[in-house]
Amino acid sequence: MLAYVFLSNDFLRFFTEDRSIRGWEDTATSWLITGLVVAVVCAGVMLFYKLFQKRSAGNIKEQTWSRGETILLMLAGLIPVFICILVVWYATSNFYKVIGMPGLFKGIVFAWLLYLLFMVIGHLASPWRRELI
Amino acid sequence: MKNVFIAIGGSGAKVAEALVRLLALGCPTRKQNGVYTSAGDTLQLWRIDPDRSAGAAVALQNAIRQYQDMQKHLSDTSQAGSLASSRWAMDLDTRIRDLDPLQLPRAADTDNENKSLGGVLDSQYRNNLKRSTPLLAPFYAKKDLEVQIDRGFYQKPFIGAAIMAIFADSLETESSPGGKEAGLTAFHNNQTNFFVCGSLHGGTGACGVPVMGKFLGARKKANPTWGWRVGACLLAPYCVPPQPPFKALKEGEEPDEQMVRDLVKAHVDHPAFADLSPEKKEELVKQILHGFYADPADMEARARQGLAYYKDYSADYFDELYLVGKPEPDKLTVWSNGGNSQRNPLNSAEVVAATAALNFFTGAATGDSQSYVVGASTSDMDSQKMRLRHLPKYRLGAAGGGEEIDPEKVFLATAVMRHLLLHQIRWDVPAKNWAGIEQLRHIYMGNEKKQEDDQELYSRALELMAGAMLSVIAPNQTIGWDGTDTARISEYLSGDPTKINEISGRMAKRFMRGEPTGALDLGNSLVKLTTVEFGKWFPTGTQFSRGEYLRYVWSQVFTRIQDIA
Repeated sequence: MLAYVFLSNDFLRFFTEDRSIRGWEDTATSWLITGLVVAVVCAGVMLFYKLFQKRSAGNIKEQTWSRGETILLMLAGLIPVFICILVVWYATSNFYKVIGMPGLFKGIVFAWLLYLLFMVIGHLASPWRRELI
Repeated sequence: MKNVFIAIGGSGAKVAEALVRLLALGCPTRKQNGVYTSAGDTLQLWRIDPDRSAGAAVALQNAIRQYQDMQKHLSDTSQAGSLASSRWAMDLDTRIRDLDPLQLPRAADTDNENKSLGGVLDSQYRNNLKRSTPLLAPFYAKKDLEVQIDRGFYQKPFIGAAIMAIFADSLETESSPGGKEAGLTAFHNNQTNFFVCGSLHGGTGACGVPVMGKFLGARKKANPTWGWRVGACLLAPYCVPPQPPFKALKEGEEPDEQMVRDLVKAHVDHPAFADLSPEKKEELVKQILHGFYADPADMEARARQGLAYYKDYSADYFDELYLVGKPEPDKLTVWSNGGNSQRNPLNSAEVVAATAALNFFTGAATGDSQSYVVGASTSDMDSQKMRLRHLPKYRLGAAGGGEEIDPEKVFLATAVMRHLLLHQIRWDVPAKNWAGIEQLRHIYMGNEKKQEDDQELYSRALELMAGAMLSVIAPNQTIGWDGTDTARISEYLSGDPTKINEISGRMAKRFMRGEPTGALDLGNSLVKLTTVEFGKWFPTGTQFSRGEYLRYVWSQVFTRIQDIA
């Protein structure tokens, strides 16, 4: 059901600017998958960074993260998500042509939302949940 | 263990102040379940001085007030009565027993009204006793009998000795003013350490210490099952006052009224005359003209005579007798003849005397009853620029393991503990988020109000401890200290983020290894520890209290301090 919603024509249409090119549905699907992959990778990197920071902390006060610091880390992760999406969009001619500028921004927002979702899930599923809620 | 510190005269009160400060900053008196502490012992302060408004008494009162505040911040129970109690340090009875030797019992309403030697000798304090004047007056000059002694004995022990003897005799009677204040009945059948402290060269101390020693020693001897111990510390000349604003008259000369008025007028701006009524100013001028003031030239001779007296008559009353002095006394800059204007800064010799009191209170015995232990300072020590490493080490009693306590290590442990508590715990984050300090996290988890309150209370208590440290050794507040240790301690106490980070860095754990990246030092002492170790420290088997936790952390730091090779 979710996959259907994800890949339904209306949803894909939302991310594309030029739908006159043949195969625009495949390009749009690839675009969404790109967003998903970038979000997962960035969330993984940010969570690993936090784990490394905690493990390598010389002092106990550095092992403790406040909610503000955790949120700051999550927000900081939005930047690599943005850069990755931008690079992929610019380097792939299909994305450049079919997705266009509006689709780029929609894709960035989509990847950001996914990234934030994974970050929240990552925290909730770990002992770090108390640092967020 | 009950301890009573009997401060006689101004020097005694200054040593009492130093003792209170040392206890506040963490000096232990025993080892209990592996923890160095003074908590559980009690201390009562008696002050014997006819000068009720002495500057030293005001300074002592301030030290006690700060001690009381510190204990209140560290205690989880409300303070009962006048007892300042917590699991951090010794319980202190904040009510100083002011034993005024001029508050003597009276046989008639007119007795002991006139606060002069003549007035006292001419009074009766028991109906069956006769006045002493006919017998004793021939030994004194007229001016000695007439001088007002409600501001001390002006370094004339021959005046004070007679008063003190009557006063000590009055203590035998529970209903006398002194007897009521001392409340000695409460110490019957109670193991108690009495420690008497005063100067050898002054007026009040020189006559008060042997008289009180004799009084307590005789009572102890008569009741050997009570378990009393009587110790004393005598302060040989360690500071000398400047000369008075004008010279005394020659022997036999008498001042006329005009001369007195002129001198009052000429010295109206002198600090010793400030806050005095016109009559008191005239009285002070007459005292100076008659030579009733501390003459630096006489001090050494008086101390020598005092020591000879102790050797022949008094030493046997004491279980322990300590002597503290300086080869070159410090020079005071402000002249005063007692009263509120005599506010001398804390002297390093007084801190040394306070460590003697600690050594006595721990139950440690120095030498034996047949011998002297002569502890001399090292040749490299400048008694006017002392370092913490020059302070004598004291011992815990046999029950406390007999271990040696180095005051320098005590200072370092307190400074490091303060840093750990204030800067290595994320008080700004709810305890549920804390990592690496699991047991403390459990105390505050889900109780953010308690966490917030305790942070504030720790902060205030640790500020008072820092203040106690600096008030003992900081050259701008004291006499006789070199500034090197103060500079280093100030770094550890600093709130400057750069300094805090630097100290944190030295206590940081090396990556993938357990040892610290650096060390913290003070003089000859050095401590290596990581904050990760600190996170695991927590007292076991007791109900949590701030004082208990602090003392446990302090003890852990203290045990890790080593001598620099």
